[in-house]
Amino acid sequence: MKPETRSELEALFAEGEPMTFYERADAVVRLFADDSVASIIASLPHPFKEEFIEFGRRAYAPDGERLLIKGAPLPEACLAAFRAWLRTYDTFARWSATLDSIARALTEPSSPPSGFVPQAPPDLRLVETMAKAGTLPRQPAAACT
Amino acid sequence: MYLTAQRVVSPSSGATGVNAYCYIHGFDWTSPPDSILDALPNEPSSEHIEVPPPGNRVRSYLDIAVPDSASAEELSEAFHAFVAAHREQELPWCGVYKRCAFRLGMEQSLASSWRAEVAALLRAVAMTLGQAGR
Repeated sequence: MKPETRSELEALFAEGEPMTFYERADAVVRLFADDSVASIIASLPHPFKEEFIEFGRRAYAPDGERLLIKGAPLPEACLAAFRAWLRTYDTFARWSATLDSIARALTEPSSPPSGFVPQAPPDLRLVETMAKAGTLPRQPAAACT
Repeated sequence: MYLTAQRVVSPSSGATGVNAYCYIHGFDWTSPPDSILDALPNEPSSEHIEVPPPGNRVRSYLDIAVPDSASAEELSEAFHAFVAAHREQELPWCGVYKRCAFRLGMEQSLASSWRAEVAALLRAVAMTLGQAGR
């Protein structure tokens, strides 16, 4: 359910539905276009409220603080930008959890051994070649098939 | 999104660790563009550094190119397919699964415990992603 009113939003938090921070934040931001930002934020439960304010400051820095405490509805462009941020970071968080889960599975004792050790060249002699970021050790592109 | 993690060793100090970087492409794709793994899109949006670059020797690496619109399930499914297809092949591994591209390489001395090595690289990438959203 996507809350469309303050009471629906409060009900969403009260029900304690299993939602990510970003899903909850998105539900909050939806109401920013129609209601007082400060008033909505003031009604958020602890500790979500503190985390949300911190996220908002980072998302809008250096203007975020001003926008979030102004008490006026958020301009439509800002709302769209804010929601784009939320979607992006929700994706990051989900990817992070997924990769961490795969890593755990790879090292679990119950994980079936392959019985095979992939071979590698004796010494790849890979060196970071991109000084700026210190990344991209690169194998020759031809190694990709 | 370009995600990369490398186990590196500093030639000067001998310090070793895993560095990871997260880059945002800013565009989407239905299949990975050619050489997507060979070019960094821009500045890293977040990073996890254990041994400050540059000049380190890379002992292992994992590169992942995934469209920003991909779901966690899509990424997971593609990575599992990548490992399943290569697990009995010589390193380095490189492959494209649906919209995701992967590349993995490591020294021979690490290959005997490749699962643990891949897990370490994945954890570093996950940590970098977690920082990006914080």
